Amino acid sequence: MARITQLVLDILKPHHPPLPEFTRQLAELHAGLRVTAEVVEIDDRTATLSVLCEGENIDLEMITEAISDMGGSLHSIDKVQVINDNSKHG
Amino acid sequence: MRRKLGKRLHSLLRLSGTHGIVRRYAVVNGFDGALTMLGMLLGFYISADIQLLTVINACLGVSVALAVSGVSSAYISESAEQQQALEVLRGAMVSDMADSAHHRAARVAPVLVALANGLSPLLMGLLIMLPLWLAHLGLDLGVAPVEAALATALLLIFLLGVFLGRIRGSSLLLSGLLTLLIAGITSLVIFLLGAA
Repeated sequence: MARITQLVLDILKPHHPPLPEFTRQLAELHAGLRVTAEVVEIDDRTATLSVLCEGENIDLEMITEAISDMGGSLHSIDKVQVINDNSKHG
Repeated sequence: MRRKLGKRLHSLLRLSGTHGIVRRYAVVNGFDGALTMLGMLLGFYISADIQLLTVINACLGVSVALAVSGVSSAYISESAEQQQALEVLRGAMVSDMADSAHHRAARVAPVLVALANGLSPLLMGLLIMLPLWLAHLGLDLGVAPVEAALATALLLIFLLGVFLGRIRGSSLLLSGLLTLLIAGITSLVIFLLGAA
């Protein structure tokens, strides 16, 4: 089975919830999920983030829903790492 | 389950920036309710030969009117504020934010603010009227029912002051005495107007 183990997301979010709360809520989606959020650009009402998610099997849909629920929007998926555990040819 | 709902409501209030407003409205309108009842009761106290049932009905009418006024005025103003804030955010996010907590907060927060604004004077009114009802049911309070209700009103006004002192982090006793002083001045004005 192919698993997503790393994602870099470009996200636009309102100032509320604040960055630590936003990041914590994302990390709480999966046990063992590591989330690192970095502010790329900030204005009066919004912030553009680069969010690195690392885990054993990341559910992208769940992350997208959580971002939307917190008022954010996913602009682009800038990097993906996928690991295939099956060895068809092995 | 209840804790989770409480946490969710708190989160929606924080998102809408109204968690402080709910507390402020509850205290301010609770104080309005208690002071209004104090005024009503003093008016009856200085009037002669008023039936207990008349006092109860008048106080109940005022409490209900304060509650309806509090709920409707706060809902209308707060929902307009929230919609405007959401529109500004939608413009900034270039999204309708239909599935977001911000959208839910803009609908839920006005209801919570309105309830806090309306129910606090009603609760104050009902508590102050408790001695009147007990006397009406035939319970001997040891003092006249209107006097007992007046004492309840003063106690609640003092406790509201104590609560405000706790929020401010200042002396609880001093804060309670300050609200009592306001009640005292109100009482004095009513007595002077009644005497005139």
